[in-house]
Amino acid sequence: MMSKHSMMILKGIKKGVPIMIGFIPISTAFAVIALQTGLSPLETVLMSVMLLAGASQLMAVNMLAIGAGNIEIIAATFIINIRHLIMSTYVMNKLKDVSKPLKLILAFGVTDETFAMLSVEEPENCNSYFFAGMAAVTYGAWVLGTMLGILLNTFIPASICSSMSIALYAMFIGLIMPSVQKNHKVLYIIGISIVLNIVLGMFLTSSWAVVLSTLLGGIIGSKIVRREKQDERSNADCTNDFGDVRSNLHS
Amino acid sequence: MPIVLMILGMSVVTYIPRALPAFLLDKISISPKIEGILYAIPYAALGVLIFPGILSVDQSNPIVGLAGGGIAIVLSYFKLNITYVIIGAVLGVIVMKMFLL
Repeated sequence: MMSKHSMMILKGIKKGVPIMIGFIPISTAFAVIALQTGLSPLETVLMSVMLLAGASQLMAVNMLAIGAGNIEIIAATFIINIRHLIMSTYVMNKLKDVSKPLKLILAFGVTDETFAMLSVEEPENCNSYFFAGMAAVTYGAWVLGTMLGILLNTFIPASICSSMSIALYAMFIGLIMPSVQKNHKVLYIIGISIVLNIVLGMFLTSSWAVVLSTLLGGIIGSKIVRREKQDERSNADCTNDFGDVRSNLHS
Repeated sequence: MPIVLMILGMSVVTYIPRALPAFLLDKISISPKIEGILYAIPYAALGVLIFPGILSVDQSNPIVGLAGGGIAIVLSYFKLNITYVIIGAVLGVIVMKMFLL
């Protein structure tokens, strides 16, 4: 009989599998592109081990290819990854039971994908063991995919690998759909954020546009949901301010 | 600057936004208003992550990404497990690229 904790880790590992399927082709593509840019295999793996950040790793090798300076690349990495501040705030808020040193380790595992998975997870699964299992699988897939890319470098064209980036988008769509089916108002939040992102993208770099539109979309979205909640309150069957969203997210 | 130092610098600036909330959240208490925003943020973030990024799945043919997204929408609409949604979309895109190229 397994302990409750190892059951949770196992559950997290299971939920990490779809992320793994999305991560392996992308990290493989990253490795192929990095080697073509002139990075050594060791530097390529080191980047995946130390960063676990797909967008900034791909951006870094692209910038290296066009001769950008190292400081510029570090600055661009920071800007791209500011969005994790919002995501990590969300994740850390859900992992309340955890000691600070452990939190600092788990924080490394916050990616767009682990954040997305946790955000649609049922509350009883939102604990450190679950998140650790999920993060470990995704981290392993990211590093192994990078090594795979180094091994397969001569056999697979980068274009095939990169076409598999649809995997992550398909995963994001698959995560949203159950909530949309239960509450169509979720579509407004998604739509408003996308429009904000496109409009802001005309004036700002795309990474700042992502940060601001996520934040603004979240603020406006919380108002849309609250208004609906108040409508429902007249029916006198609500539990708390956000019970509505929560039940949609988690059921 | 050697590449290794650049990677080190990149890892530091990548880790800071991830780790900062672990420090700050103990010091501030989350008001219901902030909590409401935190509940809406996944939808906002996912929307922004999907579009317009999905157009760049195939740099020269945005339609490939859109069609892949369409497959994912249909498969997830019929409540297929997320792993099959992903596999279906990937296969769809590979087939499409085979016929378009």
